[in-house]
Amino acid sequence: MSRVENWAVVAAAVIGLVVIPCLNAFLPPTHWLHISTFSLSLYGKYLCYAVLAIAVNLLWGYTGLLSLGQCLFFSLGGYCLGMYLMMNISFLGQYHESIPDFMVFLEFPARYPQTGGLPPHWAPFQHLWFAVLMTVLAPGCVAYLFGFLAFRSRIRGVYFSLLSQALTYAACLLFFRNDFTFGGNNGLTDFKFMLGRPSLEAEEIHHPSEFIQKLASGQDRISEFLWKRIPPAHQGRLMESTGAKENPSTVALLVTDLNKTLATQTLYEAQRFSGVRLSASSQALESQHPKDAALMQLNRQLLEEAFPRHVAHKPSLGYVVNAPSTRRSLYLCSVLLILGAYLFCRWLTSTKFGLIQRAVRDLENRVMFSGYPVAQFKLFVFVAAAVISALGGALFVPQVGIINPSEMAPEKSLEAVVWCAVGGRGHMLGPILGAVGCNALKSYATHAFAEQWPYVLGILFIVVTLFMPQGLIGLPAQVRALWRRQPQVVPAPQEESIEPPAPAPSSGEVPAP
Amino acid sequence: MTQRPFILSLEGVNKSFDGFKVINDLNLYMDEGELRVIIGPNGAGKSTMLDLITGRTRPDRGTIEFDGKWDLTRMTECGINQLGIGRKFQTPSVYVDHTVIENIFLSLEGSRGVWHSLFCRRTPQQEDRIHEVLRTVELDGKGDWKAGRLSHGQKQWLEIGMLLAQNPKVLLVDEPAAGLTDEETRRTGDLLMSLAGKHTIVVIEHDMVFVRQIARKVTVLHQGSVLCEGTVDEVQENQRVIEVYLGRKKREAS
Repeated sequence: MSRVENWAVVAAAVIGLVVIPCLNAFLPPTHWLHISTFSLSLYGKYLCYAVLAIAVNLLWGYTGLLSLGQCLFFSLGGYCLGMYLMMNISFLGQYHESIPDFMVFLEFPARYPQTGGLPPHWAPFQHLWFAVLMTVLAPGCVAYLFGFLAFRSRIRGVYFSLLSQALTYAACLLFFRNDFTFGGNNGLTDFKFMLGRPSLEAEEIHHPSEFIQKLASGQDRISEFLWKRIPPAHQGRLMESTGAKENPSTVALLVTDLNKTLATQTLYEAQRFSGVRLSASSQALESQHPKDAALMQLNRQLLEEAFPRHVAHKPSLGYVVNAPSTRRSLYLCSVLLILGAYLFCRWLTSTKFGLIQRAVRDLENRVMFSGYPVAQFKLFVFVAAAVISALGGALFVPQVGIINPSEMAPEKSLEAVVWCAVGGRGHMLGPILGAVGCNALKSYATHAFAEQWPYVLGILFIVVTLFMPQGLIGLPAQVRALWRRQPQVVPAPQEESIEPPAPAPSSGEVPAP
Repeated sequence: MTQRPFILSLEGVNKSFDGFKVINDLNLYMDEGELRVIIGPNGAGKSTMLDLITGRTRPDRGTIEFDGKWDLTRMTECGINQLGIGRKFQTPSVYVDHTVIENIFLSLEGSRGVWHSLFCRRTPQQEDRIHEVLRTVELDGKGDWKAGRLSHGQKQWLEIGMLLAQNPKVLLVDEPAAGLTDEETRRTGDLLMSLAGKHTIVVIEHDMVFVRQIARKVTVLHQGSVLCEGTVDEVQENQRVIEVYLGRKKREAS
């Protein structure tokens, strides 16, 4: 690795990790150097795409496996984290139910009555650790299975590319189906909280009977307000239960009704809370007149303060996905992720494994006849690239705010290949440059001339392929070579066919009689 | 004949591609440490025979045994290679984007596993071995060159070096003299002769000067089976060999 590259990486890391977040956080929006939160998330999105491009490069540039389905793994990672975010919307959806909107809309409660409409495989995704684990495992397993079958059957070259494209297309069609339980063509969107949520859980209510009686008595104006918002039919059921032993279903009923109130109403009113000592943080939050997700956090806090004996204190009410500070953290995670992916690939290519990887790219037969189990090496790279892509996808989703099946459509994967080619495949920094550059251009072009964008991308690809075989990253060397008026020494890639037809024996080779 | 099993034996091997019989009831036995040259006109099945031994293609019928106990027809390419059967291809097959040292390093005997390749480092013993091999193939000054910069002859030698690095029991060498100058050809011959004894070597060659230089025992293949076996002189005086080659020559002339 050249020193120029090292310095470029260090400089990019400092700009990405320190300069840009500071320009966003500490400069007033009117300042000309200020970077808006929208732009920050846009950069985060570019970086996630760049992580995808790194994975494509690891396969195509370093192993000679042109995968035209890499977006499948990117999207699977995105879906896993998207499911976590969907499980934490906590009553703030359009229907104000505990389950995500699309499940209400598609009448899942009738399909899964035992869980109130939640498909069983969704339930564990309310935990971040599980979602992250699946972000790695699900795409990893798909890649392992596909790679195992493809490489064992020695599917190479263009056949491998077509097969990978077919795989992502099949997955895309599958995810489009409503009964596949992943939101159909709308996908997953409308995220609210991460790393916690403000909604009330059943186990957070102490002495439920006493709490219900207190609410029903209407002694104070908060109780009165909350009780009025519980439907009369539910009120009756709740009252009946107060004498008997605590019943989980009535507690669940109470929790659901209270959560709906927390999600939809403004709890605070000066008179209503005249008898309650409010904490400093609640007062501060209230003075900002929050809406939507932040309002629910305030409501939850107020509920805890109004009923300290009955409602447990929740240490973390979660982070609002759209809040500037959350966006900043997500952006920082993207920078760290791409640094990690870059360093991993750099390490990998520096090992003996990396040598074998490039040997497979240049001359697979020689590697095989040197005793290396080529299929296993390919499988390792393929799974590693899938996991890298998936991590990129997982960070993509909260920053972009949506994941749907169109993200795994074949043309998306083709775009990733174009980024790689434009930036310079077979080089560590090339695809990063290509992905960020192409996406920045796309953001501009789809504003300025949306209709023509596909043509621009196509022309770019052709120009780069014809005139810049090393991509943008190889341009300086190319220019230098032109300057010296010397043909650039690029070793022609050796072809697969190792044995051309033998030369016909000339008369000199014939044994003399 | 000694009681030792043959290091390599092919018995009743048949192989056809699309109905065309390329290998026809081929029998071939190799003693350990032997240097055998295989000649034959185009299409005699010489390279296909190497493909069959190395597991690149499977015979339709027949047995191929290594050291009397390994049935090569049931093994994969890399499994066969790990038994100690190395192959040099007809055109030089070296990793052009790797340095000469890296080319040899990847061919050194040792573990071929994925995990091992992730965490292993080049040991001093391996460095010594690499330089020993480079001296043998006269490339010791060019260790840090990209293999793509080497001349054709040097690439041929590098590939032979890669075979040596594996320390194989059997070396299968396909046309090592193709495209070499007379001087290079002579030195290649010397190299192969110096290796015989330590390794069992099968050389496929067209160049009769070269064959005469190295061969002790020559096998002539014709239409997928052995036409005759013997010393260079015996073979050249064999009436059937003359017919095969001259018949061919007549057809080409007409």
